[in-house]
Amino acid sequence: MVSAKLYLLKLFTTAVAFSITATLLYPVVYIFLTAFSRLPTLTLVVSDFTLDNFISVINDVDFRNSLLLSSLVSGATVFLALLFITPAAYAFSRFSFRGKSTALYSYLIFSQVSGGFGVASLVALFVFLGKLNLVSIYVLPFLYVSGMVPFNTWLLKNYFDSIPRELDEAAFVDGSGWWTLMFRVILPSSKAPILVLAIFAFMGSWSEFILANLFGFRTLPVLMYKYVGAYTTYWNMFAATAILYAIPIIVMYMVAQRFIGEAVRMGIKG
Amino acid sequence: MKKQSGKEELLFPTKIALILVVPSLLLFIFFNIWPIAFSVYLAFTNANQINVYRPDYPVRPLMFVGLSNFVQLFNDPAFYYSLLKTMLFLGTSVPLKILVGVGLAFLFSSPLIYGRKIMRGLLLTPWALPAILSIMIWRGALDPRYGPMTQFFSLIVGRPFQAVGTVMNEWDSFLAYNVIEMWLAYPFIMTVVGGAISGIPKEIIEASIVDGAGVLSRTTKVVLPLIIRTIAFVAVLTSGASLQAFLIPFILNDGGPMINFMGKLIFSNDLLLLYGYHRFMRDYEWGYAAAFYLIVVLILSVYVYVWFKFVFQRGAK
Repeated sequence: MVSAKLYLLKLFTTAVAFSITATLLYPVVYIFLTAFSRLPTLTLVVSDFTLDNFISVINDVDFRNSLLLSSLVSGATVFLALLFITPAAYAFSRFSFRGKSTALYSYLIFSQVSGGFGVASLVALFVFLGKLNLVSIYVLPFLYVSGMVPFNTWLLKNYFDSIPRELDEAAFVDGSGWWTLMFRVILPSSKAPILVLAIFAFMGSWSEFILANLFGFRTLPVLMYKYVGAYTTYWNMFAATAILYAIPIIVMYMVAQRFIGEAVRMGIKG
Repeated sequence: MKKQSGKEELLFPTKIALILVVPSLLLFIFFNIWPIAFSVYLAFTNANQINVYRPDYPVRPLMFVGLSNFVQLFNDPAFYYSLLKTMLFLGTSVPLKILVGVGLAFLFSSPLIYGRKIMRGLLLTPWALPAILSIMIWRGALDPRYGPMTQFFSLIVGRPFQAVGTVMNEWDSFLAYNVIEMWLAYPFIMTVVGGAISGIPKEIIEASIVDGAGVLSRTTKVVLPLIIRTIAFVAVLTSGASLQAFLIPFILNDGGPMINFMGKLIFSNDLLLLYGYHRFMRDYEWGYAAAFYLIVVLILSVYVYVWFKFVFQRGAK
């Protein structure tokens, strides 16, 4: 009797949990299925399964241009993020210098309101980049990296802290130069934190919308915004674009899942 | 922070540390701090999209206007309406997020669910998607004609739900903002609170069962007091997100329908950051927008002070 009751209770809670999960994920499931429909409207029951939407999106010149632009900007952002942030985080972890804790605290505090400050500084940014003739696609990755500095320096510093410093000290005592120390000892032993930084930099630039939209660069998010804002939206085409756009992000999410919580806690995930 | 021993200071001189730190610091200051300082200058001028680049332009040449932007701001009913809406959004979206997030954390801490881990993993989907994409998906979901969630919300409000499109309702839009903000935030709250629940020692739960506590009193009198600090912690953090909401109103319906407020036509759902953006991109009142954003920076500084005092410093102890 007891086990039958328990069984019923389990079935009941499972049903409750499942219906809540289904309700919350309903919009995403809907969009996902619409991508395989011939009808331009949103649909849950795909009567006419097709991959045509994906084919026409991939053949679309606008999409290709945006994909290329987004890839180049994101690639440059990853490269610059590694170049600028890795050495700084290493110094914050290993060195002691004047102003170190002030800088770290400032980074931490700033990263809490970086989104709001980012929007609040748009007017001035627009004016002074315009005056300096710096509104250019080549400057965009630098803008992205500058916004990533506070949180990612903090994150990466914590990872470097967890790598035993005896390793680099031993190499130093052995008489290796800075070059050897950097490329033979430090970098090989910090693959994980550097990978995390690369993933975060990619996710950040791939999904950045506000700056790209303001300066009129047609990256993928800006292109999709043009789609949904159009007078007539072809939802099946939007859905196919959205899936293609989301694939790299979802793959990286799976790799970096356990670090995302930290990113959201710090308020930086875009 | 780790203690530094004297030996390392000798090994790694300050000069090298500075070479490593300064490039990123300069980049950060140049693109993030300098614009805010530059806003202070703009806030006291009559800058617009022409005179900023051509100061001698015959119509409205660029000049200092003293405090007049601030005077204009504090006499603008739209500013107060935006402030009020943002505070209201803070007051409604934070409890909603916490309620759903904590509720899910409790539900999915129960061992009585088949496929619990799979469902919990699927529920983290909003984390895996970029916020910009999620909000666009919601725009589709709330499409007045085809939107799958439109019918659901129409049932709740008892008439056609109008948050997106050519005909919009002020409070339908506001409700939609709340739901989307909740949807973006619940995975975080659920994960953090769920972690706190699973961290409660089994002995405490077992002792309460032996004492004859039912499920309800066990939850409210034993578990809840033990995780209330965690809930307060996530409440402060997610308040920051609500206060800085920009993409949700911007992407969903660009600040909702226009309404007539005290004789002025305004966007009814211009949350703080979006209000400034509209002054910047629609009215081209750049000096005014800069003055407004300085007020926003002040408000955010108050928030970050609260965060530092009550979350960071207490959490670190």
